Parts: sequence; structure tokens; C-alpha cells
Amino acid sequence: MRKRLLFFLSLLIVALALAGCNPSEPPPSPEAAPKIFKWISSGEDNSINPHDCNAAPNYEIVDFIQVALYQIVPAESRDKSYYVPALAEDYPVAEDDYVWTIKVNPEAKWANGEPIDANTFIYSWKMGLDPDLAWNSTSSIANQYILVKNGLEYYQQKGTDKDGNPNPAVDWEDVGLKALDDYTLEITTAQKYTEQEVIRHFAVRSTSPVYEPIYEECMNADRTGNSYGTSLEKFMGCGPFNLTNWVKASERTFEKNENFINAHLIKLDGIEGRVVLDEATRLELFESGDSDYVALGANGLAKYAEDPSLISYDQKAIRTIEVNRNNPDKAFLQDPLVRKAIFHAIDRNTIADLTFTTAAPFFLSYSGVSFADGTLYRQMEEANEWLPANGGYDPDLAKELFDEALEKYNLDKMSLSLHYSEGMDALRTASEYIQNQLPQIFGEDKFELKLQAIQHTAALALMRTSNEGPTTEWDMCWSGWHLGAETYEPHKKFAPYRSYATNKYSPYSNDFLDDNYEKLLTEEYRFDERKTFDATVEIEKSIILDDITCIPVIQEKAFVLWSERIVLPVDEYTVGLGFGWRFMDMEE
Amino acid sequence: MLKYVLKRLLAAAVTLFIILALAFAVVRLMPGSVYDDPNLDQAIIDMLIERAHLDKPIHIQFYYFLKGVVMDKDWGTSVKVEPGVPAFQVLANRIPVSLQINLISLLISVPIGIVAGIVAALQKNRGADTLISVGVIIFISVPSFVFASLMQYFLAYKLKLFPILYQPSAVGALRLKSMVLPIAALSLSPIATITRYLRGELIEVLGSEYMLLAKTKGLGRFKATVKHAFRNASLPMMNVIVPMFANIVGGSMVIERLFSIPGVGGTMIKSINANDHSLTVATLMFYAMISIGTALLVDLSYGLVDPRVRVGGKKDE
Repeated sequence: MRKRLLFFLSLLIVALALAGCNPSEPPPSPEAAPKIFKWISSGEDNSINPHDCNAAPNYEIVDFIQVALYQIVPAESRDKSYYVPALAEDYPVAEDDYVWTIKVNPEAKWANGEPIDANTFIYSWKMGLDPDLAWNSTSSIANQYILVKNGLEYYQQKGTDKDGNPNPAVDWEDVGLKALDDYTLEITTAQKYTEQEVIRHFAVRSTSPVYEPIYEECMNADRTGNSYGTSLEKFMGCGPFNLTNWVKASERTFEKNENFINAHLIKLDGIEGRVVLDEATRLELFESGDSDYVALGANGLAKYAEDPSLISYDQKAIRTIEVNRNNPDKAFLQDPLVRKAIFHAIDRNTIADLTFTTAAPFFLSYSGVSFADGTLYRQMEEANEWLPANGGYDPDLAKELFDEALEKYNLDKMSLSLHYSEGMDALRTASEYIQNQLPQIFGEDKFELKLQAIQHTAALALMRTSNEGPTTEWDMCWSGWHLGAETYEPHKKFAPYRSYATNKYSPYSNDFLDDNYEKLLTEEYRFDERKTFDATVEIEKSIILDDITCIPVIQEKAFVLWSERIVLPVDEYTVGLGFGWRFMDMEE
Repeated sequence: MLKYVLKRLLAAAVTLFIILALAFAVVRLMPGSVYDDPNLDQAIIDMLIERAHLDKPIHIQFYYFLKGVVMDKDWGTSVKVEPGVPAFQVLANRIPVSLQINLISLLISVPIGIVAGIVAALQKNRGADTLISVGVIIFISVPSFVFASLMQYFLAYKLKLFPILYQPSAVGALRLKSMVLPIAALSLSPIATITRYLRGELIEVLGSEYMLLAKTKGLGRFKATVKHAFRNASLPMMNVIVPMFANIVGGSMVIERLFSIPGVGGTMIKSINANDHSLTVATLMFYAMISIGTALLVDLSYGLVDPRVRVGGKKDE
């Protein structure tokens, strides 16, 4: 009896074991580890509101959690990028020269699964351009790559014109942004534009939607302020990832958003991010495997300069020295002769080596695209052939020009000051080098340069005082514009240097720039990229060779390291897309 | 005593008002504008300036500011450091983190400092005293961020005994572990300060006649020290320990930066650099309140610790 029981039990165990072995199904493989990108950032974030997102640390987060009608994606060739519909169903359709329609994708959803439609966009754009809310980065909704009819007029209606008169009132109904039905947007522009310009415009961060129920809850009583996006609870996203944890300027955790319209393009399962201000700590985290990415500063570069995995790329900012043309004690600064002497006395190549930057005897950066096929402005021969040799450094010519200036203004000695922004190591090093170099060229007894460190925003304010009237507060000061629009329209970089620009740093007077910049905005030029390119070259020539509107010195460069497990979607840093972080993958 | 407390509170209120007025004037008269974003059109900047009354004379601006504070408890909104967040809310969000780290640091520092001080005093000029005194000199003269960097490098990065960064969202053991290094770095200097101060006070008291009497009455050395000497030596210690509480909420900019702690340290500098006027004034007022409150506490604590001290008592009247 006992033997029989044992036999049946054995039989049962074998039968159960065989039942579990289904030959049609392979044995389950161990579960793949989630692909979590460990991201250490060096910038302190403070807002994720797409309407109030005006600093790089905020863009970095918003680009992971928001998306607009269109988005830029990497090409399969891994060397380019292009735009695809995101919350839009398809590309824009031109109804006539000034009217475009865009269909919103009926599948577009918020992270919580609620639908996004045309009215969502109209509400978001209306709030973004609201003259009472006066967001500081939303004029781009009306004027970035296209100029929306009456958009800027609506946004600026509570302000005053150049003569101090109140701007005329504009109704929202008169703005060229309309919902024709639940899924159709109609855009009326002030000028004629190409399809690419319209697509690019509606890929801009500020045109991405805001979630109306939370936005309304965040509005203050008189509707002049809104706290949307100032905490995790006050935000709803629609982008590739959901922000699940956010400690401002310290910690952020993301999970893949399964409701994202282009979720199939996203390879990562999540991101664990920290903000670390100290460079040595960032390096320690990278080296210990707690970070997949590190941006290097001077200390890190000293260690990794020869490392083959080090990746560098040019940034938009050209660091220039602005010259005060409204200094009554130093009227000679108005003279291009003096500015030219200083331009040619600066050894940019040496400064670039010292500061890990690129020598820039030019005004437009290496990262502006001039042609539809992706050709960069600085890749064109015509943009470089006229540039002064040796990075503009010509001590003999500099000395000759300087002596001429001394004689012209009957001076024995020139004493100037140079303000540089505190905390910017490259500018301090460059300033110190220039302080030593210029007297050696011009003569120790004939030239003196005093350096003064100043807080960055104070430097900007200081320079602008020369627009309000004569000031002896400053002679020269480091500056460096980098504008979003210059990526695809390099000539937009000239805008703050027009004599009538409202946000300029000094009362410039380059008539050639003024006249030709206006031409570049006309349809005749905008629809002819070659003509635009040629005119852009001519303006840059006038800045560098004739007027020396400001003195360009270096172009900033970034240096980064990626961990080996990261698979980037592009072979190198790509204009418009960067490294394509959102689309990166990880080795198993 | 009550009258004295009321007098001191009134004086504190007047002092706070003077500080507020001065802070407001200094901050508003600094070069640069709150609205200096180059992306912002001048027409919009003009409108914002007008709306914030920044185009008015400074005394009118102060009137509007006071009106906001009194009528609506509105200290202004941060424009740059945390755009759209009320200035005091910015501080309220950050203080608990700094408070937690610094409070634990202080709670550790006080007993360790007291024990080390007593040991050093009792072992005066012997090996233990020399060892403690060398440590005291090192911990006082070397800034805490140097120790923090060293501990982070060796204990966290090399030996992997602790996380390199503070973990604000972690719970349980990981959170505690991530707090060890910043707390240790913050504790060294206070421990050294308390030790040095107590050692000096105790050595003086231990040589006094009443201590000799206590010993001749048969009291053990340890008992006599703790019961009599320490009590008398602790009165001047209040001058050292109580102000340390003021630093608790102040945070430590460098330590917080090193360990990525989202605390209040550095808020003032950030707001000044960013021309975030409302936040600067709110932060200044916050620190002023803490400092004045602490000074008041020190004065009052004398009466509690030493019954001989009767501040504002009948004798004075």
C-alpha cells in the first residue's frame, strides 16, 4: 500500500513537471532591467511652466515632460534631425499666403489620459500672450519663426510705444490664432512664410499646451500672476516622460509617459536626476557610476583633456567686449580706430587655449544653420574667406592703429577699464590675459587696463546705462548674446546691435547693419536663402572689418563625457537637437 | 520680568522695523532691475515696472510694500530664484531641510563638546587633554567644507560607505545614511567651540575654593565636577550655545552645495545676484527676526540657568 502511494505520488510529480514544460513557450527569461538614465545636472531649476521657462536648467526638464504640435527627432542616418508631428496630426496646410491650418491629433493626451484638442492650444496661447500675466518668454508664441497677426500687439498692449504713448488695445478675437473646430487650428500670419518656418514655430517650447484646470487654480485673484509649474502638484505634462518627483534645484525623477503621442520613439524607462553644483562632486558621481553624463569645467578638463571619450561642441554664445560709446570722458571710444586697435591686439588663439574655448574673430557662431539642407553658416567659404588671419591678432597693425588714435586725440596715455562677470572663469582668465597683453603691444607707458569683477546681471544693467545718457561708469564690458532664433536664422543675432534695438547694451551706430537688417526681414530675402546668406555675410563684414560694433573674442565650447552604456541617437552634437537626450537608448 | 520682556519685545519690534526700512531701501537702490530679462520687450518691462510701483520714489514704494505686508500679509513674490512663488513660501520650503540637518548636528555637537570639555579639563596637561586640544585647534581653524570634501571623497567616493549626495526623497536608512556626512562636517566646528569654551571655564572653576570644599567634604572628583563645577561653568556657555541655534535655520551654503541639499543656505546671495528684491528683503527680515529672537533668548536664559541673575528684577527698580 505504502509503495503504491509512493508510486502514484511520483507519477503525479512527474506529470505536474511535464505539464509545466510547454514546448511551444520558451522558458521565461529573467526580466530586463529598466533603462534608467542617471543624469547629473549643474543648473538650478525653478519652474517647469512652459510660459515661464527662460533658463537652461528649466528647459532641460520641460523638454522631457512637454511637447508641442511638432517636435524635432534624430534622423536614422544619425547625423541630422528633422521635425515630425507630435500633438499635431500632420504637417501644416497653407490655405493661402497668410493662413495655415493645423489638425490636432485626436489621440493627443495629457499624462493623466485626458484629451488635448484645439481649444487646449487656444487657451494656452491666450494665457501665454496675456498682457496682464506678461510672461517673460512667451512673446515667442507670437514671434519666433513666424509673426502671428496681431500677436505681439495683443501681448504688448498694456505697454507704451517708443514715445511713451500707451499702446492701442487689441482684442483676442483679432489675434491670428483660432480654433475652427475641436481639432482644427487656424493660424493667420503677418507675413508670408514657408511650411518649415511654421513647423519650427510650433515646435517652440512656449507653444506647448498648459493644462487649463490647474492653470486656472494657480491664477491669482486679479489674474496678473500665476504659479503654474512652480511645484509638481501645479503641473500636468504631455511629453515623453512624467515628472514623478521634483525637489527644486536638487532632485528630479521621471518615468516614461505611456500616454505620450510619440511614445514609440522613447527607449528609456525613466530618468533619475540630481542637481550638483560642485564640479568635483559631479566628477566623483560620474566616475563612481552614479551618473551617466557629466559636463566638464576647468578642473575636469585638466583631468580628461586627453581622454578619447571626451566630446566637445561649440555653443551659441560668442563672448564679445562691448565698448561704451557714451562716455564723455573717453570720446575716443566712439571711434572705430580705437576699437580696431583693441580688436587686432587680442591674441584669440592663445586665449582660446587657456580657456578651453574657440577663437572667434567673428560675430556669428558655428552653430547657426543657413540652408535648408542643414549647411551651417560658418561652413560656407564666403563666411570665412574675409576673416582676418591669425584669429584677428596682428600686433603690428594694432600698434599702428593705437598710435594713430593717440595722435588723433592728442593723448599721451589711454587708461581703460574692463568689467567681467563674477563666476565666469573663462572671462576672468581672458581678461587677465588681455590686461597683460595689451600694454605689451601698445606700450606699458601708453596703455593701462584695469579689471573689475562684477555680478553678471549688474554688468548688463551697467552697460545699459549708456543708452540712457552719458556715463563714465564703464569703458569696456564682456557680453555675449545667444538667441533662440539664431539657430535657423543666424542673422537674428544682429537684432540687439541695431541702433534702434530696445535691449541694446550701448548706443550703436552701424547704419549698414540697421539698413540691411530690415531688408533681411522682407519676403524678398526670407524666401531666398542664398540672398539672405549673402546679406548676412555683408553685415558681419561691416561689424568686424569696418565698425567693430563690438569686439568678438571667443566662442564658448562645452565638454562632456557619457558613460559607455548610453547609446545616443546621433553620432555628434547636432544643431537643433543636441545629443537627442529624449531619444537615447541604453545597452542591455 | 514680564515688564522687561515686554520692553524687550517692543525694542525688538522697533529694531525690526528699522532693519526692514533700511533693507528695503538698500535693496531697491541697488544697481540693476528686477525686470532685466533681455528676452522681455521694453514695453512689457515698462508695464511691469509701473505695476510694481518701481517707477515711484523710494518712500512711495515702501508705502506700497508696507501696505501689502500689513493688509494682505504679502511680502512680495519671487521673480527670479523661484518665479511665481511668494517670497516667504520660498523660505518655508527650504528651511525644514536645513533645520533637520543643522538641528541634528547641534544635538550631537552639544553633548560631545561637553564631554570632551570635561575630559580635557579633568585631564589638564595630560595626554587626553593634549589630544583633544589638538583636535579642537584643527576643527576650529580648518573650515567645515574642507572636512566635508575630504569625507565625501574618502568615505563616500573611495570606500563607498555613504552616498555621495544627500537623498531628499529617500526614506529610512538610506535617508539617514545620506545625512551622516553633512551632519558630521557641520558638527566638527561646534564640537570644538563648545569643548574649548567649557575646558577653559571648567579649569577656572575647578581651581576655586568651593570645589576644594566639596572635595574635602568627601565628594568624588567626577561628582563634584558635574554637580558643582559644570553648573557654574555652563552659565557663560549659554553665550555660545544659544546663538548656535540661530545658525540652525541659516543653513550652510557650502555644505549644502557640496552634498546637493535643497536647503536655505545661499538663498540670500542667490536673490541678491538675481536682483530678486522681494526675496532678498524677505530673507533679510527672516534672519533679522532670528538674530533678534536669539539675542532675547540669551538674555532670558541667564535668569533660568542662574537664579542669581534677575534681569529687570525688583532690585533695579
